[in-house]
Amino acid sequence: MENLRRGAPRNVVQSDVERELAKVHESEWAVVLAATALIVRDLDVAEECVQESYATALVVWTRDGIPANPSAWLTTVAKRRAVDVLRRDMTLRSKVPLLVTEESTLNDEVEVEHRRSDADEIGDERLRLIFMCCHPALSREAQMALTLRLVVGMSTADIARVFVVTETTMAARLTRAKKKIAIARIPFRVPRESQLPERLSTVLGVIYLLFTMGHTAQSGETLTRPELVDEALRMTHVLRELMPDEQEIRGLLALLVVTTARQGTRVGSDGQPIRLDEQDRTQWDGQAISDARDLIDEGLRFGRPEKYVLQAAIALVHAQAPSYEETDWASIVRLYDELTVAWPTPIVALNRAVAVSMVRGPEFALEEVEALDAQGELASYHYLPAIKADLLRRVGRLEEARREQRRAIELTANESERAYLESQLASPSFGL
Amino acid sequence: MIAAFALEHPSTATSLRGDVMTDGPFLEAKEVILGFGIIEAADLDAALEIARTNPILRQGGGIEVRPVESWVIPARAD
Repeated sequence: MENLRRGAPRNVVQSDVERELAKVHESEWAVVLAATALIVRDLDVAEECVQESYATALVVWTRDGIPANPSAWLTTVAKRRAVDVLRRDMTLRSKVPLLVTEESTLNDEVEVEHRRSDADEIGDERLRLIFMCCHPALSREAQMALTLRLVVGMSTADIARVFVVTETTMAARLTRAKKKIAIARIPFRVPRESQLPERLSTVLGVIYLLFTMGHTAQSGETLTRPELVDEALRMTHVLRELMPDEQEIRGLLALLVVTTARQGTRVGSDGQPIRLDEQDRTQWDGQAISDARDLIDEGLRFGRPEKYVLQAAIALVHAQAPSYEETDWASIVRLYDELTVAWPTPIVALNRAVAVSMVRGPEFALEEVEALDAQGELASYHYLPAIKADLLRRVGRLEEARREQRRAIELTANESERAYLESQLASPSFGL
Repeated sequence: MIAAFALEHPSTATSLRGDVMTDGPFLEAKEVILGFGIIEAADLDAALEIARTNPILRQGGGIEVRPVESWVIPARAD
């Protein structure tokens, strides 16, 4: 009994509280922040109040035990703090631009209590937060950084690491973005029906980018950033739950789920990437693959398929193939043909060329890749010379293959990928 | 003087061209301002909706939406 600390009558161990807080941070940060921001209508103040509520929780929960509903507890504390700030700073606040919440807020003199009851009527406040952070009037970088900070609750230092900038730079970027939200009056609400498809695309675009950054980090030392992958998945699940009828959300969820099924086999023990044809297929997550299949089947059933479900379907063909050689490449090319219509970008065309090389041979694919190279839109995309090098190697033009492989090495900023490309170049397949 | 308007920093601007919305001002070296209008809107979405009705967007032109920081409209002597 002597290790029972004073002030912990219910035998709450601090590590339990910390674990619970970490869990609630993961699942509820955005809910608590959004509820607080609705009252205080200032993102910085709201963030402060929420952070304080977590700090208070650590002390109080350790002393009194973990409450039955931790999220509600945190929200109440953060909101109470917000109301205090409002009362204290009433005069000061009349000079700062406040977040715009509902359409009628040209008139800012709404009573605190009144705002409170408004806030309770809104279904899930996380949606407001997501749509505000991903407003198309913000730059893509700002959208991504804000989403990580406000929706995910990631610290500025961690976000800085993700984007490989200093913490000061990231803090300034976040401040600028929040200032734009307030001054340009980017509304803190879910867009109206008529704007929803366009705005939802932007949101999904941000989640997709965060996911791809996590799946293959653009720079830095490791190939993947699992925390970004997890957050992207979590946000997509939340969106799916809140807006179950949206095709694009279902498609994106399918794509993320089927892609993460291979997560564990993409990196070797030495940290180097393992190519698809060398991955241990028995280690792929069968449950994830079957979950993705259900979502994809549903998505391909009606109407014209959108870009995410098509990418998911392509990944599924790979995931279901017993081996690289036995992959149904013809189906993959057909799906890429559809994807080219839904999403005409040079990156899609480049990936399609790889599938074409498996069906019609490398010579044919090489022509397509050379045409893309000549267009110059992918001049800084290292996968283009890497794919070209592979095709040249397969048709026996080793000298040119080595030149393209070196170009790919120069263009990649990810250490793990660079090491892989270098080891490939030194192998006998490149004639060295 | 008829009226004077101080605009917020260009970083708070939002630009439209055709169906595309982007952050920031739209100034390319050879772009010229053809005109301006002052609107009142509850928030950026409402402002953009008004801006979108401008036919210049269907004629290859662009619109930059900027918040007004403050303004003066002096009383006229006549």
